[in-house]
Amino acid sequence: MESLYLLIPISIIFIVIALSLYFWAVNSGQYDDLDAEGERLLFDNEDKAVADPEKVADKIDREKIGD
Amino acid sequence: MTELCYHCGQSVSGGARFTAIIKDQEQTMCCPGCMAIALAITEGGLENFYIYRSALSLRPDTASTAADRFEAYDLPELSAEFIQQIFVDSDAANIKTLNKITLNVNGITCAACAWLIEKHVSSLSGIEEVLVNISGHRATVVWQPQQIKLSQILNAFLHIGYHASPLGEQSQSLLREQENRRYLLKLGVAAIGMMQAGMLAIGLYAGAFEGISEEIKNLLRWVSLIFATPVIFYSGQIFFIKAWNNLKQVANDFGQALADKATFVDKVSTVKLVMDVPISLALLLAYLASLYATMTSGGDIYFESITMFVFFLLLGRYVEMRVRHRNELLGDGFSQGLPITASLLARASESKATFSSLSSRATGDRLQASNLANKKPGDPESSSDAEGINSDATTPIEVPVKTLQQGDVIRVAAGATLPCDGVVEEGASTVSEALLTGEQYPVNKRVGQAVCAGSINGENPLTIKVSAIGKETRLSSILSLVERAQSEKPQQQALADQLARVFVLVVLLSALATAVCWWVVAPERALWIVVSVLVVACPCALSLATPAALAVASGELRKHGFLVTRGHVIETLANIDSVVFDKTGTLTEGKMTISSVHSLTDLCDNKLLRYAAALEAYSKHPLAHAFKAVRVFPRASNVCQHLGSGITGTIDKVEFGIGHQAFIEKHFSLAGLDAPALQSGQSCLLLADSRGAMAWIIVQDQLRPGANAAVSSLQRQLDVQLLSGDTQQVVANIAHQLSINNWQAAITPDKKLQHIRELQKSGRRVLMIGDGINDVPVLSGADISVAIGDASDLARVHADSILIGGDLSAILVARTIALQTRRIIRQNLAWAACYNLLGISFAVFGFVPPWAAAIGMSASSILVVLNALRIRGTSSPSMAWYSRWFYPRKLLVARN
Repeated sequence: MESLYLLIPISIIFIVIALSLYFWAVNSGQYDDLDAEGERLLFDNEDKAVADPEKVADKIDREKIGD
Repeated sequence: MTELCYHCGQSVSGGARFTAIIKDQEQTMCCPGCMAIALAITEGGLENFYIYRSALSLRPDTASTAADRFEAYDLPELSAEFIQQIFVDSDAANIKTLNKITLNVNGITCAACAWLIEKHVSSLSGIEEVLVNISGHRATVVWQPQQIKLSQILNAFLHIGYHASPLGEQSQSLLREQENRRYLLKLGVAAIGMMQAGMLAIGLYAGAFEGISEEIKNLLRWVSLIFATPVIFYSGQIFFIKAWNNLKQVANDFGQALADKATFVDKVSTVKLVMDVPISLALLLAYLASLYATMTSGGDIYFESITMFVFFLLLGRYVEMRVRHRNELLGDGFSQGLPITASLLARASESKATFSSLSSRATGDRLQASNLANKKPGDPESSSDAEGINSDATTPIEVPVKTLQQGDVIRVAAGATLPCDGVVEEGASTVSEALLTGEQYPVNKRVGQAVCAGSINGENPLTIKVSAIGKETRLSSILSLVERAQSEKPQQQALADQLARVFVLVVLLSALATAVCWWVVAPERALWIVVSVLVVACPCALSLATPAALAVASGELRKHGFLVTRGHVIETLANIDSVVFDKTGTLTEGKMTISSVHSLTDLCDNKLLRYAAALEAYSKHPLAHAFKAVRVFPRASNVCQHLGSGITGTIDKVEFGIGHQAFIEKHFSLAGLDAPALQSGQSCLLLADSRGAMAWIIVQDQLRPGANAAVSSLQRQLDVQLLSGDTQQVVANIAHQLSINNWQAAITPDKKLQHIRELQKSGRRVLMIGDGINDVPVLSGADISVAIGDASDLARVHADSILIGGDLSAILVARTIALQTRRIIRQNLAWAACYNLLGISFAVFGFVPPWAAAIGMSASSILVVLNALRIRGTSSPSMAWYSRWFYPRKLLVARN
């Protein structure tokens, strides 16, 4: 059981590290939006819009007219 | 089956069809607004949005004036306040300056909106980064100022159906974010501390059964102490602070009560103790006793219990905060009705210098005007003043409203909203002060009279001397009243606090009695038994009971298109016994179409309609919508909206008017006209000019699909009434179709309010459903007000809840959910109180060891939360409540 004297201080150090990481994450805004992040990775992130030159041209036209 | 708009989910009606090809299929839209957005989305290659989204989009505002207002944000003085500049080294040689802004975004409904906005906006050239925050309805945009202007970015948001506006430094949104972070940090510390203390407690209990060396036992206790201390004093801080404030208040009240012995009993009974008091007492005493036990290596330790308390209690407070934030969020977008720029004519200092020599008030105004005119000549546009003083007017400069000072002179165009309070310096006009007074009819304002920010200028431009801006305006004070009403605690929370008073007494008395008894019987056990009584009495489940239920309920209501913007709605909804409809736009589609024209002259129908359309183009009244179909019409000037009765204006130097028969007859001194016979859902407008009556124009409004079913099912449970400003015949028809027996026609907003008040006096609880500007006074008078989704902003500001899809049956669903919520809250409170009282009675006799207290407390808290989750299943029996937990929402969408 003497190993506890080593293991427990180590676990305390780990927890202090974990908590400071958590503080950093919260303070840098990573927990500000709890609703979206879970679903965001389900969305397709390939950028088709820019890949298709015709559509880009269309879009530019529309912006000129639309405004 | 009625067809629903693919974009916003509202029913499609009327002759004109709006369609868009989405994913190779033709989809129907309800209005050109939705179609434009759908096209913008598909053209950008972002049609996947429609697959990803888990909630319907909001219907866009038809008013496209918003775009003009964006230009104002390009003014450097104005944008400096919102825009943050960041410097980036793209390569060593040049340093790029980027602009960064935080925007408030209206219209976000689900996570797919974030995806859509980020994709669309970041495809513009010059945009560096777009990040959307769904829960805060905010977006952060970083862009290159040389390549794109802020107004263009805001327009890009508008293209795809979101209205964005810059956020100030001290905005509520940022304060909410800070509060959220604070809670998350405390919650995280409590969670980790609780887990560690819990694990160590398992070791200790196992040791107690299996045998453990004294040395190791002490080590584990000391480590538990290390983990529990930050949980109590960092995470648990908020309970101590609140309890301390409450005790100070109580001491103060008590002192006052003592001062006057006669009313002592009355006053003492009003003293309020909140739940934080027994919580803090339990936490502190248990902590100190455990600390003592650890130091002396004897007695019991409660570190695992108290860390768990703090975690569960904080969780309850956090849930409560999230619900509050959500509610506040809904109100956020609506209060931005004031213009952000003003047309400045003269600064306060200048005008003082110029006019200080003026002697008498009577001539002052006129002289002032001509002085101004002489100073800066040359604007032909503003020469059409009503009083005709100004032959050559000044050139106004556009400045941000915030830079205005008291005494500045500004010009307000016809039809514009006043940006500040002031005194009319020049001109005469009618001004609608509906926003402030609820009075629908515009008030005549002439030189020397005071006008208020937020009121809408009528037919003539006005020159106004600023008397108050920003927070000092009357509008601001009214808005703060609205805010105060919002922050009022729901009564159910108060119910928990009422319980708290009794509870605190019971706990304190039983702890005292226990201490005395055990001191006599077995003094060495007395301390530990008193501590166990206090620990068991910690009202964890009791504090979770209400917030958990309210959080689940408001989420569930939102799913059914019923947005709750005020805290009290859910509990009041359960007590409702009368539903009052306003005819226009609530029971009917609210989209008028021209049904027929009965000409009274020899002019052709088309010509007549053009005159009518010229006038109606200035109106936002639902009836005016009918004339949107007429695309070509002459220009009307001097248009005056007589709210609730009609519109008059000059076309080709002849005065025309359109409106209710009574108003037009009075205005043009006509008599003896017979209105044509109307069928159900039709309204009749009279068009006339100064030479005589011209035509009857009959406009038609169809019943909302499902209105019949919704009303008849509402009638089974509630008293349904119909109040309308429309004519007897029209209202009678609608009432007959929907078999509503209790109806009144042709009544004014005042009468409506009076009627609601009378109902309330007879003990009824009234839910009022309305839209449109003439409902505002009534909406604020009803117990619960519901604004239909496409109602005017004004109606929405005053409404307690918003019916997003315009589906009336949602009201019934909402009521079912509210009833279920009330039931759940009562169950929760009863269960939690029983648990605590039972626990106390066992603990008093010394039967509750620390581990039993910990298990009992967490079990009762979890039970309360699980019970609250049952609300989720209330309204959709087809989908078991647990399926929503186990399947991601996307899969559900795909299966449907």
